[in-house]
Amino acid sequence: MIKRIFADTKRCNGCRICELRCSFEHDRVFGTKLSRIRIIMNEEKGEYRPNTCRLCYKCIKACPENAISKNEKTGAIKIDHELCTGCGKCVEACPFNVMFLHPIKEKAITCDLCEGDPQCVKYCPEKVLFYTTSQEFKKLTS
Amino acid sequence: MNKSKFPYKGYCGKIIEVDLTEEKVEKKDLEVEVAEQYIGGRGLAIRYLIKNLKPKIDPLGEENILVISTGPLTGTLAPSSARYTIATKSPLTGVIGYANSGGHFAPELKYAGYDAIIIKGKAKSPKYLLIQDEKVSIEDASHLWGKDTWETDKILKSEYESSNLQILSIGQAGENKVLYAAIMNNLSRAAARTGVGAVMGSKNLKAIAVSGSGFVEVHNPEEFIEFTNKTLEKIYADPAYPSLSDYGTSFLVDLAYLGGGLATNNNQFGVFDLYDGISAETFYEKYKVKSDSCFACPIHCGKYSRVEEGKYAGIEGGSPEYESIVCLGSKCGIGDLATIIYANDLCNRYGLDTISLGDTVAFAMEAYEKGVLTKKDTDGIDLTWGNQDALIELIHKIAKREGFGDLLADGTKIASEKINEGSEEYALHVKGMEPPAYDVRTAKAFGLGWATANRGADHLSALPNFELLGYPKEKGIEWFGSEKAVDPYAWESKARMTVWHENFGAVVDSAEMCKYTCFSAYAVKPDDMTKFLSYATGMELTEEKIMEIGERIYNLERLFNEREGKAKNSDYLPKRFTEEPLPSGPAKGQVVELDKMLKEYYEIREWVKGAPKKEKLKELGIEQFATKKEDEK
Repeated sequence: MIKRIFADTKRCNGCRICELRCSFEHDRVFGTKLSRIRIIMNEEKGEYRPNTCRLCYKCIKACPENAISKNEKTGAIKIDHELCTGCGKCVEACPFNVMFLHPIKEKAITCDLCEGDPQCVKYCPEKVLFYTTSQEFKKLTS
Repeated sequence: MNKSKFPYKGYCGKIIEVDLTEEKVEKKDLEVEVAEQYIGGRGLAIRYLIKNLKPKIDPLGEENILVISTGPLTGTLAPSSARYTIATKSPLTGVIGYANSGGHFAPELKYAGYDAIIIKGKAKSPKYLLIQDEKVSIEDASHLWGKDTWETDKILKSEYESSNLQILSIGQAGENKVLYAAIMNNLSRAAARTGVGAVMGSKNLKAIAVSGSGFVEVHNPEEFIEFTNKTLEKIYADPAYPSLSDYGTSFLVDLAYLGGGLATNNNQFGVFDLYDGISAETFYEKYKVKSDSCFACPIHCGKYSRVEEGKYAGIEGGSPEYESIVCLGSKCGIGDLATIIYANDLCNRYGLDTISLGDTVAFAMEAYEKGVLTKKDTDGIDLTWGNQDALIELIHKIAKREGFGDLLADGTKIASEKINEGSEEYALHVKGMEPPAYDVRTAKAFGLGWATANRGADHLSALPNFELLGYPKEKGIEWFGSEKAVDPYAWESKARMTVWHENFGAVVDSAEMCKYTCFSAYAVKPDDMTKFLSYATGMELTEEKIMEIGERIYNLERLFNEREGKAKNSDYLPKRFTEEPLPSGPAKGQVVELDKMLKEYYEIREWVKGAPKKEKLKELGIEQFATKKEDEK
């Protein structure tokens, strides 16, 4: 069974430490718009929803350069930046708005599951994020 | 993205200078010397203001300047470092004014590429400042004028839907120049104190909206992240962590109650009969919904709350903090959290400092109790202690400066001078600013800290939590040379404790880290801060060097006050705290032994009656800012 990142959204407090861990892991700098996980914020309601790749693979089909593939080990999306032209077709195709163009490199980026050790999950202070199977997640939060 | 050639990492190296009179925006380089000598944030702000503001200007006039500044850690993973300072000459006190806030605004400004924003002049009509990476513009805000901070936030976000704006704004209170108007961001985060919102209003500046797509780079990423992880472990292991994390600052209501310092009825008492109605447990059980964190904060003391029943059912939003619970609650004799949550919500929307607001209402209630004010003066409002409707009605009137509210909109000092009839005796303020929640007769270092704070009665200037945390005597000896240091009722050794906290506090505010990380768990001490700043910036720093920076900032703020003629003999406490013993409870009989502590304090600081000696200024390298005789007149 494939493991994905799940969030117990009710408890997310919007600290966005996950976004910073992500940008640091991938670029060694700190910037929320470099992050592959993004918190959708509704401050009026105090509701914060971590949003990242669900592994639906629609981007693979959408890429005209065959730059996107599946990581055999983790099932994560793999993007070859040598081939990626930054055309944005995958961004349009993503139903969850979790494919982005890197603001500096101008190449497509999305969650790569940190080779099976997602840093956002590891450092979430509220333990809101889980890297697990959908069945396990259901058990954990029911 | 253009990264500047600034020699130190952590900084953007750029500041925005806006002249609202000329409708001009300029981008300037951050001075290297300012970063080296003042770090950023609060330090950067005082350095800019003392150099660029003439003494004796009208705080609400065109000449005043607002400085909004971040620190080199802002935008990074350093715990709780996403803060900013807004500084100006305060219209409430006439001395240095500054306020500090968290939320998500400050990192966004860094990601847009700027360390600070300087606002000068006065716009002819309502404006807002729009910053989208390199693009900075002054925009028309006539459609926002008259709107509250929540409406303003919503409208601006809808106008720029795709750009994830972070917004700070004033509400009607700032527009109407209520002298303790706040600047709000993220709906419930307040740069509350010293009337910074009134200055923004006087400039016809409604809001600043920013979005940034860049990043902050640190000098040594590997050391930086490793040290961050180590510090997180310390924070999580601290015994106070669960309280702050689960209950938020409401747990301090209980701490104050246990020590007999739960400020009640304008500080006439330290024991509150209706304590159960505002206790941490009541908050947790009945009103807390969840945590609501500032950016990059592992503590997340902020809470989101909702009123489920009664006449305020359905009111929800960022929770009142401890300070707001006491100032809007027990100080006014009000023991009902639903009312306090609603009052706090109104203050957030109007953009009001809950501390000064609550204190001013409490002052009016005491004047009413003593018969100095009657219904004839109060537009018919019954100001009996505990009257919840009176508090709510007054918030509306103060924000709009309507009727009796107009008098209270100037704060306790000015109101008492107008009311007269002995009301000055119980008009509680230091340097013109109303005091925070804790009754300092039960926490003596806090008492001294209120008196010596450069911006007026202020718990955050020193925040000497050390005396409250129940540490063993040995720790008192180790840190401040006396076992009395861990006894909140004792005055001995508190001068030394206060100076240390004030100096390090100035460093913390300049790095823009939250004081809860530094002064609650003491998880970041000066040697830790040295590491954070070194790894982030690449500067060669030592513990001694950063403590000297703190002392430099503190003295420079004091010089700002001195040239306004308000440094000498200005470190006082209201007589209520020094001459009226607490009448009941665990701290019965306690007063603040201010004179004894102040004498020691001045010796340590090398100040004369509150003014720094020339030699001290020389030692700190700020003799060029020494007060000239003609300035003081």
